[in-house]
Parts: sequence; C-alpha cells; structure tokens
Amino acid sequence: MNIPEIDKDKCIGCEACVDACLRDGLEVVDNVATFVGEDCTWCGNCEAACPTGAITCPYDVIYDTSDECGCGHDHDHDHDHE
Amino acid sequence: MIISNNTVDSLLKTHFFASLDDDSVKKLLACFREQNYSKGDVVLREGEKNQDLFFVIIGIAKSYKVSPDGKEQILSLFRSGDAFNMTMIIDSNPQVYTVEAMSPLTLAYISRSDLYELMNQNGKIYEAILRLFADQIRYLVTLVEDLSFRSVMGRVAKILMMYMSDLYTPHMRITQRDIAAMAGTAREVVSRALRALEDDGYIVIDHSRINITDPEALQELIDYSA
Ligand code: SF4
Ligand code: SF4
Repeated sequence: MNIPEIDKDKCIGCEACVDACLRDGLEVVDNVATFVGEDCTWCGNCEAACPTGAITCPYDVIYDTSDECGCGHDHDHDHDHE
Repeated sequence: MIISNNTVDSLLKTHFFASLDDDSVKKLLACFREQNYSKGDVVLREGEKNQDLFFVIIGIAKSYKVSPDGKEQILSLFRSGDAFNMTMIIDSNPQVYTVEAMSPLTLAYISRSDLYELMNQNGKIYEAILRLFADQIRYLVTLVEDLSFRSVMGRVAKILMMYMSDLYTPHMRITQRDIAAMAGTAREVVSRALRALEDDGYIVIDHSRINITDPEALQELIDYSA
C-alpha cells in the first residue's frame, strides 16, 4: 500500500493533517507528520488540510492495456472496486 | 566543453539546435553550462532577474504564478527539450513567473551575453530564437483558450491525458493540488471532476493510480468540451 508523501523540510508539525485523516493514520512525531496507520484510502484529506504543501497524495496516471477492468490488480482474484 | 555528452545529445535533439549549421552548434555548445536540481528546488523566482536561457535535459519543471490569496496557477510544464526564460533575451525586466523542479532536474543554460554575441554573428540563431518565441506564444494562447472556454471536466481530462502520455518519466506523479493549479480551479472541484470522470467510465481510480481505461473516449470528451 502506498502512503502519502511527507516532505520533512516543509512540515511545521501543525497537526492539521492528523485531524483531517478519518482513518487516524497520521501523527506528529518529533515535530514531523508521520504515517502510523494501517490503511490509507488516498482520500487526500491530509493534502487538502496541510497549510504548507508538506503532505501530498500523488497519482500515477497510466493507460494499462493489459488490465482489462482497469482496477490495477491481477485478474485471478476477487475484489470489489469500492 | 563543460557539459556532459548526454546533455549535448539532448540539446542536439531540440528543435532549436536542429535548424543550425555545425559551426553555430559548436560555438553555442561551448557556451552552455549544466546544473542539477532536486524536486521542489526553485530555479527562477518571480520578481528576480536572471539572464540565462534554459533548456530542460532531464526531468520536469513547472512555471507558475501565485495569486494574492495564495492560489497557484501553473502556466507551463517544461519537459526534456523545452526552453524557458526567453524574455530575458529581449530585455532585463524581472521574472514574470517562478520555475520549480517537479522531479530531479538537469538543466543546460547559456548566458544572455554569450547568446547575444553568437546571435550577432549568425542570423540562423536569431531565427531559432524567434521560433522558440512563436512556440511559446502558441502555447499560451492555447492555455487562455482552455481556461476561457473549456469546462473544468474537459480541462482535468486534458491534464490527465498529458500525464498519461508521459509513461517514460517514471518520477512524475501528479496530485489533485497540481491538477487544480493547472486547471485554474480549486482542489475540491478537481476531486469532483475526477469522481465524475470515474462515474462516466473514462477512468478507474485505484488508490494512488488513475487508470485511463479508454483514451479515445477521453480525447473525445476533451474535444467536445471546448
Ligand atoms: S490520504 Fe486520507 S486516509 Fe490517507 S493519510 Fe491522508 S487523510 Fe488519511
Ligand atoms: S498539516 Fe502539513 S505541516 Fe501540518 S503536520 Fe501535517 S504535514 Fe506537517
């Protein structure tokens, strides 16, 4: 699982992202936001809340023809697409 | 020569160099320097004066302006082969935009004085510079057109297509904030547009991956959104 990217130099430890994360995924440790959760939905709430742009949820934009349903997973498995 | 062979190869592939004779190429290359930047480094800052002409060798940089309320509007993305800071050739007014590295970045640059000297010796170099200006004007007119006439969904779709064709630059990933800054809108609006594109079957968002399922349909949407 990917986790949000945190730029330690830009982070001011304000905890806005901690409050914004509905999954309790973030904490400020030694004045820097740190991902401590078990799952991240890539909802982007932390990115939206951050006043300095220190935490971001970047996307890969791809066109994968081998991936028929576009889900990004192998095809011999069950999963839902949320 | 102070630049690496790789940089020379990249420069020779640009439109700018392609139109020049061997002698001018040699003289120009002798004046170029190169510099590396990390992601997030500012190359040029709005309001400052910098008298170099830059070419991107590796990586991507963005030029942007910030509104008084702090909103960023991305003007251009510069990729390998693209030039920026052309206006410095005409006058020495301060920078009108900031340029920042969006990935690890290698730039080659030549000073205004060296360029002037060579331009005066060779009209072909003048013409090549004018072509750079023409490209930039054309690009900016398209940007104005997009911001004025295209719907937000169309703009977001166009940005996704731009990034999708960029499979060969593995470092380049895009945030909703970046998309908003390019589309001239708010992040929340981008979030809604992405969801709408997904609901309509153009893309599938799987965690940190946006998969464009049908590029042709997306291109049609872009064409019709103008
Ligand atoms: S993207 Fe959402 S779930 Fe993940 S850390 Fe940020 S706020 Fe929490
Ligand atoms: S909101 Fe931004 S600056 Fe504040 S703690 Fe989180 S990452 Fe750091």
